[in-house]
Amino acid sequence: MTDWERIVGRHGPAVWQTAYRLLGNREEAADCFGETFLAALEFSRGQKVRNYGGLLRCLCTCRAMDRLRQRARLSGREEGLADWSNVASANPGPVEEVQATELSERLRRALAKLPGQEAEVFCLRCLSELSYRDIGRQLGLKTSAVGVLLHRARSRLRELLSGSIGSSEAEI
Amino acid sequence: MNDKQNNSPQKAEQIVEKAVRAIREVRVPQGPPGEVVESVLTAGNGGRSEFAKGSFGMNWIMKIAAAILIVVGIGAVIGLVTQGSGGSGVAFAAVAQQFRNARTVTYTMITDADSEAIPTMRMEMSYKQPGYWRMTGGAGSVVGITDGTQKKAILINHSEKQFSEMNFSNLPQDKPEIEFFEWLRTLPDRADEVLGEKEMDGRRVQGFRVSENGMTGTFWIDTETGDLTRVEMEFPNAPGTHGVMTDFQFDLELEDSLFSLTPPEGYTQGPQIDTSPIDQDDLVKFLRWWSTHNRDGLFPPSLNHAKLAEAVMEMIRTGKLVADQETTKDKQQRDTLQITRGIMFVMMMKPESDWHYAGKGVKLGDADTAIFWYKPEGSETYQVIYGDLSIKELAKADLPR
Repeated sequence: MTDWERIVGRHGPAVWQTAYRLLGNREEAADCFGETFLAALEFSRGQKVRNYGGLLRCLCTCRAMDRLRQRARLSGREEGLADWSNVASANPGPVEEVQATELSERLRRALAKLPGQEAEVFCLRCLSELSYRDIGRQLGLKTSAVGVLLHRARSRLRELLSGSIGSSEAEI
Repeated sequence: MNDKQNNSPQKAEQIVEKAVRAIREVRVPQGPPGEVVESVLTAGNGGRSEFAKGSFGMNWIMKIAAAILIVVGIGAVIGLVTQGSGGSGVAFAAVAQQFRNARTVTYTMITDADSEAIPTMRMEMSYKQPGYWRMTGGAGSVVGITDGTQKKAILINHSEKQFSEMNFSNLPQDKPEIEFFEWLRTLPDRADEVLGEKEMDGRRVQGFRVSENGMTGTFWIDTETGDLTRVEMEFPNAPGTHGVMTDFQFDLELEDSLFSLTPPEGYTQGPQIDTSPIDQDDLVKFLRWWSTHNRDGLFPPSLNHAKLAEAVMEMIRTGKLVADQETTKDKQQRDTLQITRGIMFVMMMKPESDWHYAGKGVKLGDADTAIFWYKPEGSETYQVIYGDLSIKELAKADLPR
């Protein structure tokens, strides 16, 4: 087994999970998966990679966000890209499941409205659970800057999500 | 629950948390598809990934589109900062001053088009006085470095382990295409229009608009800190194309090595890049390339780059694209550069050139039909290109109706 096969085997599941969670769509997640690994391969030819896990999750998040932004721009023409049956909760009833699906789709739309690095930092921290330090290393930011971007992202998401959810839906 | 409660910070935070939890608990299906994994593995073992030709790929037409967008983006910066002044705005003047005084500037630039055939592109741009530029795209796989003091540049393709060197010393003095920041430093103190305030990314910002030659650039400045937070651009000769510049940072310490024109060790010389001034001959070459690669011999339906990319996709889908006998990478790169130059000739046209394209539905060889005409700078007459790609000089009264 080559090193590359080992890398794909070891990190592939996490990349797939990241792509699917963010995009909620199997076809786009597959494209994103391929793009991520090819970008990592190109990157590795230019410089040594110390942390493939972090790099791949970062690349995957950036590509998924680019797709979400493109989807948002086309939203007037194209809707319903998400798979509407793939949200689970501990004991999901039909209503809870639909609510969770709607909520995750709203979060995707809201993320698409954030400036580039704010969305990426938020996803890497809150969805991929990377440390501030790892996020900073991957995005070329100081740890303090990561904190600032995360704070701004949260603040903006609070506005976007609370503004987009009707009062009955917001009962939590 | 009423709206007031719903908008309380605690409630809003709970909604965010619940949304995050919903995404984290998305039931991820088995995947990715085996052929995707296979393609990724093939690429890693030195083979050509089928993926690279597929839905996302940077195949050669995408490279053309990408190259155009890069040029459009850079051109827009130049266009914006070389315009005249009009309105007012203390904050805007401060930003203009900041550009003039900065030793270094970095920002992110995202360009895209209202077309799925054109990929969204993200570039990290860095400038350092007295005239060094570094542009990184393709997740670090492509790096372009320009030394304005030497009028030289290098394009490094890490994925191919190749580099191309460029010399701009033959460019006319009045068109210093590579001295971008010198032009940025001429940003006027007064914008054409002062816009209102609005919330953007959690910050209160005020907008300033600068327009000239039909192109509009909007600068958004934080009302509290005076920081430039975002610049939005539209391009007159590429309708539907957008550029957004964010994450501006001034006076960061940038190592000189970032702007070195020395190619990385072990990299080979890539294709020669023609840096001579672009002229109408480049457009003629492009029109010839297109019509000889269209099975029906037709000229392109439009000269809008986004529509061109879509037209190529359509030709591929319908089997109308004629494959080259020679399919080497070198040939593709030469074609890409030539096509880019041809399209750029049109994109760089000023409104006063009064250009028109009428090639839709016209076949190569139609000597009676004019397909493109424009008025060169300083000329009273028009240059007219016909369907047989011959060129005539005509007075305005003699132009096709």
